[in-house]
Amino acid sequence: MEIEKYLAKLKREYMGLTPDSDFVDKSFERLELPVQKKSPFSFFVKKPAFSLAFTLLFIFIGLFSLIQVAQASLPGEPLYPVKKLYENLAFTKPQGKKEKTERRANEIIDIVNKKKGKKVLKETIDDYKKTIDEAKEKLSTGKDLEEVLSEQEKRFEQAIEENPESKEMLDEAIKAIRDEKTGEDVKGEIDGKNEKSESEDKNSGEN
Amino acid sequence: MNEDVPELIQRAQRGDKEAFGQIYKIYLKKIYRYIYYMIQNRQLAEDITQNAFIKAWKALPSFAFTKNGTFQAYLFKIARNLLTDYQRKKKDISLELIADVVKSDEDLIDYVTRKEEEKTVGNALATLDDDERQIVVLRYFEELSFSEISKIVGKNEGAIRVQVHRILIKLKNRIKDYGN
Repeated sequence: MEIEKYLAKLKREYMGLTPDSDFVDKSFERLELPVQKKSPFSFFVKKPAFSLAFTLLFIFIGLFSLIQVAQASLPGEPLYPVKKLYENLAFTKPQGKKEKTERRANEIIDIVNKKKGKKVLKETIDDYKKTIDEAKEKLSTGKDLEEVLSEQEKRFEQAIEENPESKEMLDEAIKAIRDEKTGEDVKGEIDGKNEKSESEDKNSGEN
Repeated sequence: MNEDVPELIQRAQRGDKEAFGQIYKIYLKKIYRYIYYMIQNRQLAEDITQNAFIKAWKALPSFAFTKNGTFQAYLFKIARNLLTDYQRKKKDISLELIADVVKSDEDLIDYVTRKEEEKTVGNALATLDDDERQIVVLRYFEELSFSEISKIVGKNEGAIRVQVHRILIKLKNRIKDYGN
């Protein structure tokens, strides 16, 4: 039996199922149509592409605002991890490492001024030391960094004058700067010596 | 007449009841016979048909008209949901109606053997579950595309194709069983 053939015959019966003529003619008049309520989101439902673009834009603006607000946060605050994440993504170039030391130094001074507590200050100073080490590794010339660090040293000294109770901690930060500078001097001396011995070796070889 | 449907819908979306009246006339018979075929009760079919159009009217402002035929699928989807609600609430009535057609397996065999092959298919169709019967009606009686049926039923087009194929096999097997 070809079932499709018989379904086609049944279709004829089905098509004969018609409503009463009274229902056809008058039922619409009897229909109580309520006032249509337009949803404020109906436009987005009708235009899915626009809706997607709007959602993406909304997310982008939201993220941008969050990152902007997070830039003013200090260690221990809820948005601080966002700030750190942003820094890890944005400051990958060697020059960015210098910017990171600047940011940590600013945080140290803010923590001291806002009297955020010794624990937070200690953690930030530790982070500051790490950032200096990172910058030292990445920057080809130490001169740029040295200038920035000297500037920061002055600001720390000024902060000590304004907040003598934080002297002990800030001294640690200053010590980190001085260690870095001394390390650079020592490295310079070693490099100088190496260059000198290399040229002596060369000369003796020629002779 | 159907060429005017998109324009009528747009007018109805702005609250034009006259435009909706024209849409109502275009689709009333289709929706009615679909509902009537499933519940076999004239008065109930009229009530459910009217409810379907009231629901369609209420939801019209958020309806997205993308291509021809979509509005038809939209109406059938509303009708199908109302049928599902009705059949869920009044399961006893549905069973009673099926019992009118098929009283027992024994009666069915006697009944079927007395009828022509065409009737056999109709009865086999009556033994399918509601979802399967609806798919047969939409595909073979209303001649809707697989794409439209997929929108009404809420499954993807491929799944509907497979389901239609399976339903036909099922029908063939049932008819074969009646023959034995």
